[in-house]
Amino acid sequence: MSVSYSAVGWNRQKKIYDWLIFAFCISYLVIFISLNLLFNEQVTFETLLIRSTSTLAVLLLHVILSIGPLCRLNKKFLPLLYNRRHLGVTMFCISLVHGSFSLFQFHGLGNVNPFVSLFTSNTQFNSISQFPFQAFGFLALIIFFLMAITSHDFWLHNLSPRVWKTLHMFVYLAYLLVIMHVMLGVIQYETHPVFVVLVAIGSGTLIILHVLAATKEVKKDNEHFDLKQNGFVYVCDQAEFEEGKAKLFCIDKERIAVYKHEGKLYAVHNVCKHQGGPLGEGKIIDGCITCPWHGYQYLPHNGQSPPPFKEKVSTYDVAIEGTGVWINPKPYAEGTETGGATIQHQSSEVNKSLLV
Amino acid sequence: MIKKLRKRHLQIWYAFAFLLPLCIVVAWMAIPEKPVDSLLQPGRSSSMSKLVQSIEKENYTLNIRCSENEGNCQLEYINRHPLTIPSLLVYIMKPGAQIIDEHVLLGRIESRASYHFPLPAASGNDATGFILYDFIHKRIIDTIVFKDPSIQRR
Repeated sequence: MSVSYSAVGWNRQKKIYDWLIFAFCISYLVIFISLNLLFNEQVTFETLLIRSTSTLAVLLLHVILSIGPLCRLNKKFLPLLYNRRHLGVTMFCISLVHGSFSLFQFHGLGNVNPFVSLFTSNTQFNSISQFPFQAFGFLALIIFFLMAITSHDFWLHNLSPRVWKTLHMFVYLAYLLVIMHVMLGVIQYETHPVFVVLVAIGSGTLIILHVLAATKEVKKDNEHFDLKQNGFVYVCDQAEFEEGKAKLFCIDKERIAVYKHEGKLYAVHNVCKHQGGPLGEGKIIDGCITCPWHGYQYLPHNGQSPPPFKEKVSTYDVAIEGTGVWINPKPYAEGTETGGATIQHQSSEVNKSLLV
Repeated sequence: MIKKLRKRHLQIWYAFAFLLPLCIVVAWMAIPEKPVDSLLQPGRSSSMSKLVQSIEKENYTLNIRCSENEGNCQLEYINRHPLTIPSLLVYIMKPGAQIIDEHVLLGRIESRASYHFPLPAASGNDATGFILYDFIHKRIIDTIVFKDPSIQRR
């Protein structure tokens, strides 16, 4: 949670995560190479390396792209989201090996600069089966490179979250380029339909996951709160809140997370300042609202990160009338102190004079 | 994630739900019919007994071999050093051919191993030589003309 640069803030979870990635990659490569050698003794080392790294990179890319929607659909997948960037950087490194060897194998050792050869050796743009598919892979690799080198929080702060997120949204373009690279490349040379089926399953799974997750979120966004009074909107009954957890309400343009903490309700902006995580899906730990994605924390009564950290989120007025909870959707400036609303136990007195 | 970003994600994946299957299907339908494996990548076979002609180059040796009764012949390609290009196509030179596709495709060579390509009956005495063609860079690597232009076979 600091804007100064430190390479990686290692902790136990990150080490376990990274060791698992490493073990998976090594196992995959060993199994792939062994099976290939078993069934095809004539295969060269270069071909083995190119194919093993390419299939591993594509597999990792599908895993990475599925983590987001899986977490929206089921919170049990949240541990995968925690260090997703490590997976992304790993995938880029493996793709780089694949790209480098392919460039050397097919465009090196000639009179033409390999990068020039990559774009000029095949100009059959009018043929699908002979299409210069390698350029797609190269462009995707460039996108992954830019994402990998800016994956650190240092860049998130210095590029501004908006620019950083726009850059990282290019992963979807990169995915399309990778699919085209595979379909117009190796698939055109392999006769067995299993490869097409695998690509179709991978893409189909991602499409289904993303559309399901997005549809679920849209439903939440489209909830209507019609009961309004003096700028406040009725959202629910106070009995629906659990201690240390929040309920989310989408009023006007954005989501508001309302937390119950030590007998009071506090409302903060749902979007974490770090990478836009859903604060309302976290919980209160050590008196702080804790983002479920990367653990960023904010004090519930003022939306500020505990010192020495400096992140702040907007806060909102909450009122309890009887047992009904009302929120004023007009946010205060980030870091503004609010008193919260005391949960009523007996009387039906107005907790905050929302009628004023 | 802010609402705008959620909407952007939904739009992208609705577009992908249309684009990705389309791209996959179009590319799948465009897969060309391939020659039989034994033509491009002949399975392991042994050298025929009778060596008819031989040409030795720095990196490889080309032999024309025939069976004892000379009913069948083969082109034997022996790698002496690994190729510096990933793969080559071997063509039988056809007199009068202007472009590479007009020559007779015999098979494909990777960087290692020895290859035996059965010579088609139609090549007969018309074959004057062979062309080694790099199809990735679209260039002729070598043209091999045997001193005796007729391949001795019946």
